[in-house]
Amino acid sequence: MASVLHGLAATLARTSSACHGNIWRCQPSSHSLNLVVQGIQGRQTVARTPVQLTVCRNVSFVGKVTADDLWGGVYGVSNAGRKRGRGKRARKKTDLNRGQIIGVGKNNMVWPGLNAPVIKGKEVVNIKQLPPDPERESRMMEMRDRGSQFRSFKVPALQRGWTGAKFPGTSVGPPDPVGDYKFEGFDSRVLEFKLVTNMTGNLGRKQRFSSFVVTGNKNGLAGFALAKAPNAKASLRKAKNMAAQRLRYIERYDNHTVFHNFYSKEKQTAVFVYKAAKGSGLTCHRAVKTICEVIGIQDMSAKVEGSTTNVQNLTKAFFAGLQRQETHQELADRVKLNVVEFRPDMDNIPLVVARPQDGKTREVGVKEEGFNFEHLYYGGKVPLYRPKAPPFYTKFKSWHIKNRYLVKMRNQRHAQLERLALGIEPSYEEKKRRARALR
Amino acid sequence: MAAPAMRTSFALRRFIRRSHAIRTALYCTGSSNTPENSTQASRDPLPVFMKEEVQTLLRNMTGFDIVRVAGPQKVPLRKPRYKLLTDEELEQYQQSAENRMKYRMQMAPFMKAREPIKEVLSLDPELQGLENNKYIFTDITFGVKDRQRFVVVREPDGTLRKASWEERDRINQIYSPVEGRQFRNPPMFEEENLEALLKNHKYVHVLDMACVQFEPDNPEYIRVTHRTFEAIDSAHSYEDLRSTRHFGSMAFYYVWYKKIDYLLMDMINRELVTDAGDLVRLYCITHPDSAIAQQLKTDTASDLISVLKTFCSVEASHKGQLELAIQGYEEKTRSKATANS
Repeated sequence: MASVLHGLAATLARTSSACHGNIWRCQPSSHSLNLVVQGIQGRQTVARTPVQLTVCRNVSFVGKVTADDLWGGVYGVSNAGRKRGRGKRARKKTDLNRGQIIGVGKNNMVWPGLNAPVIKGKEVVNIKQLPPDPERESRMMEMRDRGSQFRSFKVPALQRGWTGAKFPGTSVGPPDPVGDYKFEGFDSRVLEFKLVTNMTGNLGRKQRFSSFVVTGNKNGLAGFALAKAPNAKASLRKAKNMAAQRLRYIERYDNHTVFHNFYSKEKQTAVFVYKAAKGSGLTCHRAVKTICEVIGIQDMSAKVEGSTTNVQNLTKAFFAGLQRQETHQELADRVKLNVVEFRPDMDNIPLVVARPQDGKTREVGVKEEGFNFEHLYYGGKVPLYRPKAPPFYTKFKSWHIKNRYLVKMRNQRHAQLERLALGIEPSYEEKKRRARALR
Repeated sequence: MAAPAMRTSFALRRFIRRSHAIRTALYCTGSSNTPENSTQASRDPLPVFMKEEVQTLLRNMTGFDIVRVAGPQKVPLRKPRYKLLTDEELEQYQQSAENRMKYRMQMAPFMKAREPIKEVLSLDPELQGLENNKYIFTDITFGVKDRQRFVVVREPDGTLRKASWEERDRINQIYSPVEGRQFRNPPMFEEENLEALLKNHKYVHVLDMACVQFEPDNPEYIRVTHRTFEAIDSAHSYEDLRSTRHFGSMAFYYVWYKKIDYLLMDMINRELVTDAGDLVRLYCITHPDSAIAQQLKTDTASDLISVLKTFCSVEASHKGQLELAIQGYEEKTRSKATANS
């Protein structure tokens, strides 16, 4: 030990640097080893300054704690807790050594003598790195899973449903074929999945699974159904097959959105549906969004009011509203007027979407004051559009001070991009290069 | 000029072509006051281009599909508005929209490159060395037109001269900026970038941007547009320019430099025979001393197909292909006629 410390002292004297804190820490302690370090900083010799060195090791816990302790820390339950019934379904410890081979790892190195022969033919094998093996991870997972009941697998984010932990929002595949008819292009999504109970004289509390499923072909055909069964899988299958028996066709405008805004209500759940421009996407309640995806509506927004968590009533209300829609042709025939569309991306030129089928419009047009196509299907009511209140901080003085500062900057980003495009200003790389020191 | 009547129905959103009788009568007119021996490069195309009948012919060839003119544009997403209209109200809306869109169809004048300005107003050597920079004096009175604006430069050596075109462009853009025009020319007009754009068939974009950025007699504008027209000709993508303001300039370019063969073939293949006739007629007006003009002057009672055939035999440089196109068209019409009867 002493010789090691002497060696270190010599190194310190050569480099005159401070002690490296990780392994060796300088500590002015009276009863530690006394060494003499000579500094060469600025050619001044600091004569015989005593420095005390104490040995201390910051050691990782890895070697000290057993695997059982670690697993217990993650999944363990205290004795008191176990008495209360905690940790019944906690994950059991996994044997991480299963599937691991000494010398084989993430980096895929070739170590001759460890995981490869030292001599191959007449040549000596060198230490080298092979390209990464993408299947190694999954192979190891498979090996680990082989022993236990639980299978760990990763579901793609878009297929995990609304929350990732529960069924609602997930897909349960197309309905089962009926006779020769296969439901091609259909997809079913779970909207609600829960345990329901009732009391019977014979069995007492009887539990069943209740599934509410919507199915559709993403091209206007869709249906929904509620089904119960003693086990989860059966209830989902029953619900999706029942939904397939209750299909209805939903008219869409240009295969992408609804024909008009509408309002629909079932019990205490009301839904306001707004038509949207192509490319807007779905801005709705998650259940409404799922239903739209199954029907094939791409652009729409909706506002659910009242009981927003009652998915069954919400679905009923939404489907009823969709079914009650009036197509533009029906509207034109009813009011005997041309239905004309003005689209901003087409420079608001009049585009006739429907003419009365008997070829003539009525003499007098719409003369009502404040007539608005957007409110045509609200049954005489007008929704309250409450303007959004300005955020509280806009009243602060600091907000105005900041704005006054930002006004100078408002076009700088754009102007800089323009300068870059014209080559007047050096590019980011060039600026970085110039900022570097000359040496 | 026979003003083209507008069809009220939007189902057929094109100009009605003038009647056949008027058309054949027009072939035998055509002034011949241009000297034949002058080369096309030195001849000024503007007087010919601005002729009323030339403009009408070009407008007819362009076509007017209002949906294409309004075209899907890049604007922020906003939902469409709907209105319930009687036929009468609808017609008013359509009329105003048509006027609005027609305004967009105005053709850029086809000019030759501007002459450089080198006029010196006075030489004042006593001012030499007074300043190290040039001084530019200009008139920024409201309402003065950019081309007539008074711009002079005092050089450090005391020379007072009229500003060059480039200096005028800069001063005009500073004091009366044109919307969408950039102070420095965008890099898209540089040789290699332009070629990349043309390779991707961005003809309309290039022409639109050139129209905004340059004056029509700017040599840069002429370079960019002529290169684009050449690229269109070699790709035969004339359809891209129909119902845009650039089709007329393009057709006139081909006529002016006597290379209308492929455009003519394209028109015949698309069964736009009236357009093809217009193109030949334009050719006769532009080149009154050409063989086809002389030929058509003598033989008056010819229908469209025979006019095209005459052009093919007398003037065309790709005779075989053009003849095939005409034959194909004749066969098509014949089979249609038999199917109808």
